[in-house]
Amino acid sequence: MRLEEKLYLLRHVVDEESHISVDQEACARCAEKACLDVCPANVYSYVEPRVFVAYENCVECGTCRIACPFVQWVNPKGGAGISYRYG
Amino acid sequence: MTEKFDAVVVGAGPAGVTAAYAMASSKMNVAIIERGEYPGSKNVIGGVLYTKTLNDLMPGFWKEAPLERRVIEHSYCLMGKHEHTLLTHRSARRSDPPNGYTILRSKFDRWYARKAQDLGATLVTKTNVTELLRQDGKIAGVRTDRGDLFADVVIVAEGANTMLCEKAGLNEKRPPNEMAIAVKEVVSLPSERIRERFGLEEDEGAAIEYLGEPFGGLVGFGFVYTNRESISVGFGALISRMVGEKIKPYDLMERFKAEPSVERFLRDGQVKEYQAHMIPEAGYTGMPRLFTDGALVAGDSAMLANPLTGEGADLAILSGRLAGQVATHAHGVSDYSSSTLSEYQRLLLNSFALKDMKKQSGLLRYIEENLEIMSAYPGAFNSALEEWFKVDGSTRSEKIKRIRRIVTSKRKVTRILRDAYTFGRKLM
Repeated sequence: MRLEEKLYLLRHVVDEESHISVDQEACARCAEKACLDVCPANVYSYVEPRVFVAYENCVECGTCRIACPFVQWVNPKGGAGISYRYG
Repeated sequence: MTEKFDAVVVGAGPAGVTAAYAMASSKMNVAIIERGEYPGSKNVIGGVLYTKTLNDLMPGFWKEAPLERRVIEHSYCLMGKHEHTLLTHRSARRSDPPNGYTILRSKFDRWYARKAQDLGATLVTKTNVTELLRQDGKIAGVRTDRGDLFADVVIVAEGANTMLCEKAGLNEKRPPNEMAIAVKEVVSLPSERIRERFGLEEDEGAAIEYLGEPFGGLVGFGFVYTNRESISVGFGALISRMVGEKIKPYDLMERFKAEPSVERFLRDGQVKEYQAHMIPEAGYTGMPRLFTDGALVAGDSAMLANPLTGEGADLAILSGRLAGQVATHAHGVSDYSSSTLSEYQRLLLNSFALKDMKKQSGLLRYIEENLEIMSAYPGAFNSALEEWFKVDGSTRSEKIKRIRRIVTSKRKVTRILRDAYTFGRKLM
């Protein structure tokens, strides 16, 4: 099963405002780009020269925040974001 | 909203709800602030809730709580490249309370929060706490995206993402080798299929931990847990190693699910939910300051998890209970200073859970520095047993010699002795 199909199963309450931002200048210099590898929901993608953030797919594990020092990650505002039905 | 409570609890997970339950049962005026749509909506558990700590608080809870299956069977599956070895323990002995149940969080957490509400706690959902408020140097409440709330004491149970603790200077952001990423899928299957495949009756359940391939280069393991009408399947691994190996979590998930020893359980199942969460593995040395003037830290926020036993939710409950108990005492004497609240740390450090965590500290670091362990031992077990069971004309004594060579080719004897010594010292 493809990741896209799995993400499609999830219930999100999408906020118009992103709860994730990255430091594009730092990203441009970053060789590792851990964000691209660690995110379980493939939120991050890189199309030179920018890192794109599909925050609406975020499942709020916070792994990127630990793996990368350039990600500014906060909780989505109350009631927004992932809403697991099983958990 | 600007209101004053006796206590504000951040987070309606097991730690927060337990603290609220303990305080509300002593007639304190308590608010629980939860950012999700409902308790459990942001939460993930691998699978097993060990009953001990919750049963101490709420005897017989397991007779009415929305639980999945009573775990009667625990297994380790040692995975090789083409084979596996299963070590299974099953007990038909009935105990009161049963040792553990599989649970799903959206059901369980809602039920549990309702218990605290029944005692008078106020549950506020869809509200995100953005910072802890200070007055005269002590924590005096919380700022939320819907206004400020004031309280004599704040219980921080914000989960594994510890932004509040960090902002308040109670902990630093933990490094990638102290946090694990866990990915899980809930795969639905008819109850009779689950009973058939795992050899279970009615409400009985099984728990399997998978060590070795495909987690060889990582510090992590996979799991399969049976629910009533679904299977929870997934893995947890240190973030540092995931980054180091450049493995994408969803690719690893698919590889794990494709292992024959996993696939046979999942066949024809339907993926209902894909989830990810972090597990704090910082252990004893990575714990935050557990108390400060006007606040206590509990649950995942306090890094309470034991990778050896898979305990987490039960430790959250233990810490929530102690935090609630100490906050109740503070309320009684109207003193919320850190010297009164420090009792929480003392009680927690004297508990079985923290004694274990203290003893085990450094064990994950040792494994990280000796990565070979993760694949060498499961590999050696498999190869040795394959040799033992194979009838090929050689004598048993020849086979034992060969097995010895197989084992020492995977890990040097001096290393094996050092591993045994290290693990022994960390566990005994």
